[in-house]
Amino acid sequence: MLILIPMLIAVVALTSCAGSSDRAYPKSLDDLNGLRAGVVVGTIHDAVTQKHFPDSEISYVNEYADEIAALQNNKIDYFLIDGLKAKHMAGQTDDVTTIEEVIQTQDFGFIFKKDSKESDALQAQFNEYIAASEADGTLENLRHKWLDDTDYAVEHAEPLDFTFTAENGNLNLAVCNTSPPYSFVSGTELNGFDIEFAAMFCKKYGYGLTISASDFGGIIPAVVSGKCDFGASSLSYTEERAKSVDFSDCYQTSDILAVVAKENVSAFSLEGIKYSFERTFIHEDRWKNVLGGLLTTLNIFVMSAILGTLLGLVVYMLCRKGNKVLNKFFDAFTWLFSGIPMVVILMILYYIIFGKSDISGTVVSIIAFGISTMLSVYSLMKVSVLSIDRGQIEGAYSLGFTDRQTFWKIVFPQAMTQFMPNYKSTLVSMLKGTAIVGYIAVQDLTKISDVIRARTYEAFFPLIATALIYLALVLIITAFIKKVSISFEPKKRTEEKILKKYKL
Amino acid sequence: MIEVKHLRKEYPDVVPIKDMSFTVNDGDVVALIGPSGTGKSTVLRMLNMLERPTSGQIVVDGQDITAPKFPLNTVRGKIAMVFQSFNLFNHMTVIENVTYAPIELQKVDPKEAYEYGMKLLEDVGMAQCAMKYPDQLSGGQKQRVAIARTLAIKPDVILFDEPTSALDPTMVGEVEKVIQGLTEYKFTILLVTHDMKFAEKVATRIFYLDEGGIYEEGTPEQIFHNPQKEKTRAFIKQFRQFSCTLDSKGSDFLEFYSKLSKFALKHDIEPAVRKSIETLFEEICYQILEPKVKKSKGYEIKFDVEYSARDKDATVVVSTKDCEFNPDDEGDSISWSIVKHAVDDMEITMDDKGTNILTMHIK
Repeated sequence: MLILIPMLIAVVALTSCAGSSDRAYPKSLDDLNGLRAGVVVGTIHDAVTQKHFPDSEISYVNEYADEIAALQNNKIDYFLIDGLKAKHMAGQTDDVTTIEEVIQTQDFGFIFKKDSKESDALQAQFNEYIAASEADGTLENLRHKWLDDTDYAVEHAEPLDFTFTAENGNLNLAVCNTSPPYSFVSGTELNGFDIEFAAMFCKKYGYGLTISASDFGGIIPAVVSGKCDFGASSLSYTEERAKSVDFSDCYQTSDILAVVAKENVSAFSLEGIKYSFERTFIHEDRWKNVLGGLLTTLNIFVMSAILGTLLGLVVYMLCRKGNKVLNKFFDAFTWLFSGIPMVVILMILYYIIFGKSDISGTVVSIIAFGISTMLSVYSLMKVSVLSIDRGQIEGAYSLGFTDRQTFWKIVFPQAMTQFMPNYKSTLVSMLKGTAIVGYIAVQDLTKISDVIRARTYEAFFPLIATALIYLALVLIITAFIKKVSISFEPKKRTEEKILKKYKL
Repeated sequence: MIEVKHLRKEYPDVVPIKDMSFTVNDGDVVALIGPSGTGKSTVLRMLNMLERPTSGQIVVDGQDITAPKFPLNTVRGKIAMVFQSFNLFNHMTVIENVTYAPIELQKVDPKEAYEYGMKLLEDVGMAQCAMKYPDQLSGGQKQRVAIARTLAIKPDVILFDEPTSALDPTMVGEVEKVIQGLTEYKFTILLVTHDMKFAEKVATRIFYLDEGGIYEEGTPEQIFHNPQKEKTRAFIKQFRQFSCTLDSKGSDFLEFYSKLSKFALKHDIEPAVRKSIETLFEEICYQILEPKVKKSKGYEIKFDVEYSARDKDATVVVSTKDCEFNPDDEGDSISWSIVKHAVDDMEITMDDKGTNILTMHIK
């Protein structure tokens, strides 16, 4: 572990210097056309960039924090973003600034499922609430609170009160939690303009509220699939989007600005690392959030490992005698499952197969990774058992062992010796594979690092810290499996242990 | 007692056992011999049902073990097998290999099993390796452990499937000694082997397998020293055959020599025997017969050699067609004297097609 700390420092130092090479520093909108643009997947900035700056080459990323990192490292020259978010970013990190000219304005609305009576009713209630709160000044107060001094509002956000009666049932809200000041994580709790407004609506109309947070690109699918009742997170109305979902009336109009790099790049220093550490882990007790993510990752990993291993063994035992139908079925299933990227499987399970049910993303992840582990264990068992030569099996038969006894007492212990090293690497890749569960609104370790980056706009420290945590997990898991496999390893027994059973 | 009735085994492309019946009494030591591919190992493997016969019955002490759903593990404990490839359990020490089945299957007290196992290992000279794993042993040592492991379950019948074939020649002796030792303990033994001397030494009965069944059966004395049937003789004496024809189309002296030298090299024929074969060819075919046949058309002289690799002797048969030949006519000619000197036995016959057959034995 000790060797990793200098490595971390070296990586941060290198990346901090990387931005200082030749590059453009656009000063006005006129400079932007033709420069390299960044766009967060699923935002309207894709269309807006293409419309206003048609000659720009676009790079797509998942998070605004990634765009800052790209700017810092001269991967892109600018990106477009909501004006308030832009100001908040510029306040959080010294490396970027905004161009003050407004590119265009946008109207934010909440989104609802199309062509559904329940949804239409809910939408009507929501529009009614927008009108009412606009009329009585509630909405204006909210704007003052969140939008006048965004930096202050985000830093000093009081936890919201979600404990209200749910006599009319529960609503599920889809948000992106990396979008301050509209929806973000403060400490370990969701907060922000959109969240508070949704909470106020629910309180007024007697709904309970649960929030499911995903990538920005995941909000619309969550509503379309019916997984969530409505969605928000500074979602602008576009005709394109209105084809898939219904928009509520506009509750907030906002500007789109361009964010560009500042010329004076902050130099690397140990102080800087200390500051990053402080911001990433200590501030707002964010370590609790990291711990939560770690526990989620561990939960998915351990449950999938146990479930997958047990099922894999059961499936192997069912197929062992060579039942043709079962073997064909599981071979086909293995082929199908391993031919599709895990992230696609997760989304199909989450949005389509379990789209209507209340199954959480964590459970879906456990199912998906459990099945994948099951199939790995099944094929590993097949290969490991095949590696035991037929002669030993005949040897056992000729001494009078039954087929079952031969398998469990002769073949299985030796197959385990073959099985364990491969099993270990299967589990390690499964652990690393769980990093994609953020796609289906699971707040795992990787996703939490995005959430924190969305607040601090620290490009690297949270990533490196996350990498270190994963490495530590891998170390622990490998050590554990090694220990277990030694107890499986017949040749590692001591002479005393061998002789003990003879009770001499 | 094992009774085998009309046993048949078919594989998709070959039928090694067509119809085989025999009875093995308690205490018999039966050696199964025969050329490769005659199904010796297949018979043995069917006796403890590692291979299922295509048809036929195997009745062990009155029970038909080929019956469907017969609990094979019960009979396998009685009829145990020692394999060519040892088949020790690689994840167990030597002593565990030996004691595992008694403790697990026969519920022998572990301490008793251990003591009996150590005694068996001592008998086969492997006690000092009790705590080693199979991969630390030589082939001969592994086979001795495998025999001890088989003895540990106290079987009535032991099947040895080419127990020494996979061994270095230097290790064959140690294993054969152990097997020979077993014959003194009244075990019923069936043994497949290619080692004829060993078979002769240990067996009470010999089955010579050929043509999909037991081709000839007898005591070792009968089979090895006085085989009755043609194929048995050829196999036992390890005949190597060589043949050359001279006819009116002409033939070549040099060709004969090159053929003979190839044959002699291939089968490692004794130089003295080879010299005698050459002498017979020269004298009979060239000195005596050729001048006689020159005049006649369509003659044929066949020169056949049958060399026994076991006895290191040869039988030469010269058959002549349309060619008058009477040894009495030769009198005391130099050539004939040389021939008589080279052979130790000679016989002349004539078959009904008018072929002279001169059979000579070279020692």
